[in-house]
Amino acid sequence: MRNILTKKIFTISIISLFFIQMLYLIMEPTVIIAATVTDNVIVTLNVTSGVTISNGVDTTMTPNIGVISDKSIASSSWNVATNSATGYTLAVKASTTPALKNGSVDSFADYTEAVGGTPDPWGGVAVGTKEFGYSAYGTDTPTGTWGTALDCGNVGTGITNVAQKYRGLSTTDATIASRASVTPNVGITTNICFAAQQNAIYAASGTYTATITATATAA
Amino acid sequence: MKKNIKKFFVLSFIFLFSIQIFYLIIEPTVTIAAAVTDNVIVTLTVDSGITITSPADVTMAPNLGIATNSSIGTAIWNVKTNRATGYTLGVQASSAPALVSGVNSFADFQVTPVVWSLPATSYQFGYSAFGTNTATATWGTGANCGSSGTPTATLKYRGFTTSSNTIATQATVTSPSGVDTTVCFAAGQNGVYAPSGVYTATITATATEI
Repeated sequence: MRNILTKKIFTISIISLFFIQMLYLIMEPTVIIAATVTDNVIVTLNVTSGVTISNGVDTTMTPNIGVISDKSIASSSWNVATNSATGYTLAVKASTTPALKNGSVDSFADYTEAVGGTPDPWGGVAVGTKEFGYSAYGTDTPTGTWGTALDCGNVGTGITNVAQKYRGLSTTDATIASRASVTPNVGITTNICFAAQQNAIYAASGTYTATITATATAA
Repeated sequence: MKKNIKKFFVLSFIFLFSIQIFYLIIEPTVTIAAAVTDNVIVTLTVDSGITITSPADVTMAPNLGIATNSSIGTAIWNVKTNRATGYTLGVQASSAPALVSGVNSFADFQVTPVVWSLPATSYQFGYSAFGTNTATATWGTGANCGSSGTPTATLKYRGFTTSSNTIATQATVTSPSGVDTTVCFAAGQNGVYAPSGVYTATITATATEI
């Protein structure tokens, strides 16, 4: 009887010690996992939208119009550079109506399109009139509107390029080029062609000038 | 049955009492004459820990634009640890490429640290680091990020990835004031315009006990 009790006491003692040991292992793990801490920063870079336009060269139309010369052309160009993600527009306008004037002496009427405001090939001007108009070409100039020419015509004869389409200037902006993305660093050059003609009427001799303003706007 | 239980408790008590007596005999509290010694083992556990500061978000300067081709920014992380074997500090981006604005992004700079120089017709974003625990052989000897948007010529830059890349390490405990590691951000464009917009990169710094 005594042996049985002694045996039970030892058994219970061993079981108790086992559970205590297990509790210690749970509460005080011997395997330590290296700690890691993190932090975030947000880095912001602002790329400011900007647009530049070159200074177009003043131009003198050739040949001079006179009693035996009815047509004259000229050209100039602007280079536009922008980093605007949505691109730019380039528009032109005249400072006066009509655009090409010789003070109060005389003036050329603004070119009359077959359909008002829609450029069309320079088909000559009506008898008894003298007119002044413009066209454009370049990478960002839509050929559907302005034609497919890559030059303004013959500067010796004043004859316009037949592949171009002209319209008359106004004192409000008319877009001649646009794009919906950043330009190359070297920019995009847009050429503008001017044409003047008299038909069965003499423009009074003198110096006629038109001030044309080009405006490049970041879209 | 009750009798057995009673016996069980009585015997258990006697057993414990005997153990106590036995202990008192073999470990006397009163020493007599001859020298005796005793040891106690005192145990202190120093738990390892690590902290990292949270620097302010960074706005690079100056803004890039059609007339400005380079921009820089700076963030400083301070790491403290009592880990006997030290720590490592790594950085990573949340996306590839790291610096994005909607559909537009700056390409990540090359992955091997080199002096900041952009290939033609590219715009890129990268980083360098300097500090007590930053290897100058890898990251250069620069002690600042640059000025006026121009990265320091004596630092070496690399591009971010979405996996952590170590920028500082120490194999011992840090001082209680911790160790600063400065990360220099650089962005630039060369021969091409980065589309305008606000670009952001989320950079995560991770300090890990070794």
